[in-house]
Amino acid sequence: MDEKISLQDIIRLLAEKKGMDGAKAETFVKAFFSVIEDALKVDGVVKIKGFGTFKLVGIDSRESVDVNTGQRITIKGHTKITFAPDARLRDEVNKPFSHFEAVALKEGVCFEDLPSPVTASRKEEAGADAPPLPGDDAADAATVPEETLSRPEGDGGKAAAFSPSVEEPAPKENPLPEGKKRKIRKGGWYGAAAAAVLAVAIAVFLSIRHEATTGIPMATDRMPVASLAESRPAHPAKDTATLREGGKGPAETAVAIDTTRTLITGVRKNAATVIADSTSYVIVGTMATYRLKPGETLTMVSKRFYETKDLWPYLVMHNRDRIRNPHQVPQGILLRIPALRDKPQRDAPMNH
Amino acid sequence: MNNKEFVTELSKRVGCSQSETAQLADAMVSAIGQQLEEGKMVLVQGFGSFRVKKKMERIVVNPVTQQRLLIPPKLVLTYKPSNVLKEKFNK
Repeated sequence: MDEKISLQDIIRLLAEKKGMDGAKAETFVKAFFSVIEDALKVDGVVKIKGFGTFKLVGIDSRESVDVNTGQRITIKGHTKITFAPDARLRDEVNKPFSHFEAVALKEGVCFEDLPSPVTASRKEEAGADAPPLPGDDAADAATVPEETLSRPEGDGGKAAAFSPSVEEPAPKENPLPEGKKRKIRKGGWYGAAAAAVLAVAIAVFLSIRHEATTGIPMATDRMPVASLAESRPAHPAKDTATLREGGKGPAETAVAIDTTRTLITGVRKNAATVIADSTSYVIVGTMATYRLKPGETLTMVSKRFYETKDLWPYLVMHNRDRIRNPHQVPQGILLRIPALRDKPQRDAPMNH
Repeated sequence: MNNKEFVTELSKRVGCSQSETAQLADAMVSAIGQQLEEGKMVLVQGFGSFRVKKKMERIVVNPVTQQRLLIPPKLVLTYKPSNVLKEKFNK
């Protein structure tokens, strides 16, 4: 990440770009910075188009206390050099994150357990347990939409994930061990199944909790700036769906559903408002093609065409041959933009 | 000093015409910007360093309405003046 570029590299780049002599480029670049310096001395402020504004700000002397001796000391006043990047450059630099927006938080969302390293490591484990990649989940869940749709609790889970107003995760802790206990008591013959169920339940619980506590996805530090990385966490509902599919011993599946139901019904009450999710449409052909620009993500393309970020899994699904891994989309590929149509829903929508 | 004065001064020193200088300055700024976008750090000896830093998401509270807002993470360009330059202005 922190590769250093020196003045020499800039000179070389400029010379290449303009097809000019290296020595001339060098004098130019050096003059550029020395002019900034001199102008700061004279005016105290320099504005450069496309780059930004340098400014000198005087800092007054102030009193403080020496942390070691406890004596009062004066910190001398000095001049600070500030730099404010030009709006254009600022936006360019922030491009990979530009699709994020500020979100208003509702009452009762708890953030205390957000950055603790313990939860982070547990999250990692859960991620390792869940076999398929999130993008694959998305595609799988959508290719077997019958399955997902016919289970209302799947929708509930998803709704919970998207609604920023999910109640704080603590009360959800209860149904989890209870469900497990009940299972074990009922039949000793599938102890192994119960273990699997517990793993699934924990994965589900953690992913819901993860979405719920962050409000917006926070896996962004894994996102390399240059390569296109789509690093939103998987929708929990899809996780549950594929996980259930994955461990499909008959007993296991049934039990898993049971557990998730107890888990999710508590959440559902708050989950009335959901706009678009990724299982309620069918693809009816290609409506356009679009060439992905460097630094652009699939969510941004989804936003551009569908006005919501949540439909990016359809892009993956419709471009299976070109997108191997939705987290690493090659630059500049030509995407087919699927035309979507509402799917006739068998279940009533989730407002009950 | 605004951009125009800056270009004039620069053209005097380099000995190019003003339009040529402006073009060169543009090319250079965009070259630097491109490097920064790729997450690289630009070090200018005797002047300072430019680098892109990531600011984590944070929660702010509107003091009037008590409305809480989750501000998304962002990448910002920062400049750190070199010690040499700081010294020059603090004489």
